[in-house]
Amino acid sequence: MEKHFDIEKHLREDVEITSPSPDFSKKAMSAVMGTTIAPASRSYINKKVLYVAGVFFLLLITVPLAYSLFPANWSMTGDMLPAVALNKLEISKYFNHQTVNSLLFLNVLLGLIFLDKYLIRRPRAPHF
Amino acid sequence: MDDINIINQVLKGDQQGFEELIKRYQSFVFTIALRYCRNREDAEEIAQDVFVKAYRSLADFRRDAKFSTWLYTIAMNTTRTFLRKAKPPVDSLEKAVVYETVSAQHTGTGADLTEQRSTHQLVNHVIGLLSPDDATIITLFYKAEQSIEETAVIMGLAPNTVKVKLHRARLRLKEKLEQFFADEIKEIIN
Repeated sequence: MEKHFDIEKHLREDVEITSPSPDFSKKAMSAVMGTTIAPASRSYINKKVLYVAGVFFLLLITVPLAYSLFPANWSMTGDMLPAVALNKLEISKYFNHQTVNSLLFLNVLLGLIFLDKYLIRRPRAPHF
Repeated sequence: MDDINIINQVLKGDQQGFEELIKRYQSFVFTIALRYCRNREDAEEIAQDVFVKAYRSLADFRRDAKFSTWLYTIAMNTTRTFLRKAKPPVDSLEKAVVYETVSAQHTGTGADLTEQRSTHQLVNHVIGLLSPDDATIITLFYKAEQSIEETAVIMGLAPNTVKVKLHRARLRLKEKLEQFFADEIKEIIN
């Protein structure tokens, strides 16, 4: 047997707002009296400085990009690339003992980082 | 007089005008703080800090949002900073114990509680059992006249997250209220 609730109605009507102590506004005002209004940040932040910083970072990205792309031969076609004979490819040359060990070490490292993150994660408080 | 007019007056030098804003919003700011720290003294300290911060940064208030939204955002940030500074890292465990205790209490003695409390009190009791985030979202949305988007700004969450949290909180609340009254009816029958 269940009583059904118009939850929207209850939330609109019944949720309580708690008032602070009666002298709160007086206490807050006396704290406010001891301070002054800080000047608006827009009045002392020089927009020119922001623009200069923006241009600087833009150049920092575009200059190396242009420098690396400029010598590229855009007319190069596929047949100008070095041919790779797949049947003669020596996989063991690239996938050797050292590579496997490095990958394993990397995996162990990632595993430890993951475990560390998992262990330091705070337990979440259950709700209800 | 609306908030913007009061702010203009305060910015022109009428410091006393700020008291009207304090009186207008003190309960909401205090409630937000109380949802998290659950201690009246700390909540008052946070609320006072919020108003001092708001006063100091009043010139930075851009009028593209409601003053209340701006103020509650300061309240949320101040509360979070306070909790970060005040709480030792083991507190989350203590909090978990509190939630578990309260949860056990209300399932075991639901009928007793209902006898003592009206639905109004029960709604607030159950809201007190919600997570601080969920309880704050409910307060902001239903009592502080903040939209989903405004609530999201205040909480520092995506609007969709707020929608989902609100929906889940409503469901949990409904479920718990129905459970309380089902227990009460069972008790009467037995």
